[in-house]
Amino acid sequence: MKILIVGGSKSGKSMAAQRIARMLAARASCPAYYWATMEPSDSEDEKRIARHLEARAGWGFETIECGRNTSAFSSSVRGGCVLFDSVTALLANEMFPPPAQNADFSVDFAAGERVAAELSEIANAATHFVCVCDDIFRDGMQYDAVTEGYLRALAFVCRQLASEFDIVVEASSGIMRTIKGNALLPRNVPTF
Amino acid sequence: MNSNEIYEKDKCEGLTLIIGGAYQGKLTYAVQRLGLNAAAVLDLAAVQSPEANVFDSVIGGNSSVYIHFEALTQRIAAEYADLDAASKRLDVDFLAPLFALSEKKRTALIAREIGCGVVPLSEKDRLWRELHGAALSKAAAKADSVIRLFCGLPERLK
Repeated sequence: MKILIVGGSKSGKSMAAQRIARMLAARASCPAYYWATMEPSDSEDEKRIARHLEARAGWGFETIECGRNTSAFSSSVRGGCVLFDSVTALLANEMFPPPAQNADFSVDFAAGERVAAELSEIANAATHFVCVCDDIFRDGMQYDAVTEGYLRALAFVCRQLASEFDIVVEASSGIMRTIKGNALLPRNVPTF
Repeated sequence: MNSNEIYEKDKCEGLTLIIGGAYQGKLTYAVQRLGLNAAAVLDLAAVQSPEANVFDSVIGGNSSVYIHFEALTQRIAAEYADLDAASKRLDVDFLAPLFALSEKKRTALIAREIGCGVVPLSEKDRLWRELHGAALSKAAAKADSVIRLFCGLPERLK
């Protein structure tokens, strides 16, 4: 089962994704992986990561930390249930390489297609795949070319995954609404 | 039933309002799923002069799909000091002729949702949001179908 959960900031999407991933892993008796994508750049990020780790303690997830070039790890989750958080961060990491490797601050506008392929590869290796993405497309802002390029690429990844995956969910205020695949949705997930 | 079966071409007659966030696949839906003519797409962002009668330059032609409605509302909002005047101009010069046109042929109006951000600092941007939101409500009330695109997936709201 492949599931995409999209929602605004603090819409409850990550918690819903955790619940559903844990339940799918239990049903399939397979290992549960939490694929973390944030690359800490300061102490604030490190604190956030520590908070997230604490929040997941006892949930039975093995954490995989890989925020770019995911192919190296996709075979290590084969047969497992993967919670991938988030598409938004993976694309940002791949589109804007860190200054240490990118002295001229170049932007990789082709990152969207690569990220869509990488996520597809992980989803196909896993028994179940649940991924989370931010809805950042409805504020009416016209940004600079780089930011618009990022929005365009993120929307491309979302459209690709939405067409490929079994279930697409829109999260808002902790309520999960299925846009695609409602009939396939497991019945005993509290937030749905 | 999958979504392909729900959104058969013949299920959208008259005016179809297609809304959604940026880059969600609205135009692709109009052309590939509603079967509207790709050559009949008119980009409202490319309407040059807001002074000219919008109807003559925009709806007078052979178009049946109007995209980037938010660019038109933004341009009209920039021209007027208050919502009533801007709203009247949009009604008279664009919405009323569009509604009349949609009585005669299948027509689609495509618009971004722009209201899900922080209230803009600039007065003009606030006027734009109000004008756009009110215009979408009018168009939705008149439309035979309202479809929202989310990650490329259509959802019928009306």
